[in-house]
Amino acid sequence: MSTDQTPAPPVLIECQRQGGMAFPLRRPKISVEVAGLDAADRQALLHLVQAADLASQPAAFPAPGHPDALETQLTVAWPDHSTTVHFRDGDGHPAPLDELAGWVLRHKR
Amino acid sequence: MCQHAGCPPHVCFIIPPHMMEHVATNASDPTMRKRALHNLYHQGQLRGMRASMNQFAFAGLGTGTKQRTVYDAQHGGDLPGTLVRSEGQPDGQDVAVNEAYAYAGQTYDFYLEVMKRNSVDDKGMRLDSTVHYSTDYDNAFWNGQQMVYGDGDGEIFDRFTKCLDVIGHELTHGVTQFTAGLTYSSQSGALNESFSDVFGSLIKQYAAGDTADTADWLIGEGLLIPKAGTNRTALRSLKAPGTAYDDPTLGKDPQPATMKDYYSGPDDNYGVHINSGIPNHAFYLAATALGGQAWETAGPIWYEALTTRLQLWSEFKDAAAATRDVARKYGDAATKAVDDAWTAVGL
Ligand SMILES: [Zn+2]
Ligand SMILES: [Zn+2]
Repeated sequence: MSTDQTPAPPVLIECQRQGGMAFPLRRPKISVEVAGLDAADRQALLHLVQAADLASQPAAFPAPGHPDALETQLTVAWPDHSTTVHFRDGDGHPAPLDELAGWVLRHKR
Repeated sequence: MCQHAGCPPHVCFIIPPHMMEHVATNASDPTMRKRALHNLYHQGQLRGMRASMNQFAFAGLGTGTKQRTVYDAQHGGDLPGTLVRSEGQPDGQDVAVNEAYAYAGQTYDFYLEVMKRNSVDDKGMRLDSTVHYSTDYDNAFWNGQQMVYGDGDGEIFDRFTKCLDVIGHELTHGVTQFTAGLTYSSQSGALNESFSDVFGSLIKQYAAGDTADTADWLIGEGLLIPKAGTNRTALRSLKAPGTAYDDPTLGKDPQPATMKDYYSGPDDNYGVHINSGIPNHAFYLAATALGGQAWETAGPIWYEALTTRLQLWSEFKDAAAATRDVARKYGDAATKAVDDAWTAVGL
């Protein structure tokens, strides 16, 4: 057993987007396995996951129904559980959710 | 409670922001308008908007008084961001700022000169735009109060300010919000999308002096970054829905041209950007059958239907009936062109 006090790091982050003025159909789900990252990327990702604080977010934000709003589904999986949140443009979700989603999408390109 | 016609009471109790704005502008009771404005202000605060009431764009300006502002989100998510350009200031170094400003102006001019409409609310509403929204952001949207543009990802999508018709599309969502309302789901949502594409295309055709025959009838031509061996022509085609792109990364343009290929799945708010291909194609057919410049006859017929005949839950059959009816004012040729167009798409 680890004597470390920090919680176990996540093992997998998934991001999927749909909607927006350019993407009617669901785009492929992008997955990043934490084990496959080099030390710098892993550090950057852990910071973003911490800032996004998925555990404190509602599963979905009330959708105000803005035309052309992009919809994002973000999942963070730890060894023993996972959390998924849905958010859209202009629904008041915190910016760190966008930053984490953006990192995952950029990393896979 | 909302007083104006065509607004079911149960809807106005829920009051999402776009409807609240509709109430703020259209309700006959001044107290109701004031309360809606107040609610909008607080929702704006909740959504991280700058908390100052004078930022609010319902200025009530006289006809022909164009007011544009452009903000820079500096790749963050806060709206509106930092003010970088106001009406009358010259072009600067930032091409996205210059485009957002210039194309909002061309859209304003089209609505004023062709449709005799004074800005999106017909009361001179200031046109606010935010550029450089978020990072690698492949989208543009209308948040009920302003336009928001991303820079694209640089690989598939270029910056979303690049195309006049995309900016015209976004501002037309504002026009729809202040008129028919057209709930953003299923057929009413696909009509909402279609009116944005139709007027986006007309704004581009008007600026270029195109005729219906010479126009490309594309939305967002040049927005997709070309790649060898793939079709990345545009986002949508009113002339040939379903042919705008075909690419391993993007997939194939899913738009149907007729009711036979109607999409009934749950994606995209039940197909708002997909089934819009059907009314889009009907407009194209009507405009090309009429010939000449599409904003001269077909445009005003669609505009009158949007602004005086349709409402929150209108469906394709309602849009077909409304435009068929309005077309009668324009004579036999227009009546036949509009009737044939809807018949051809299965309505
Ligand atoms: Zn749209
Ligand atoms: Zn109402």
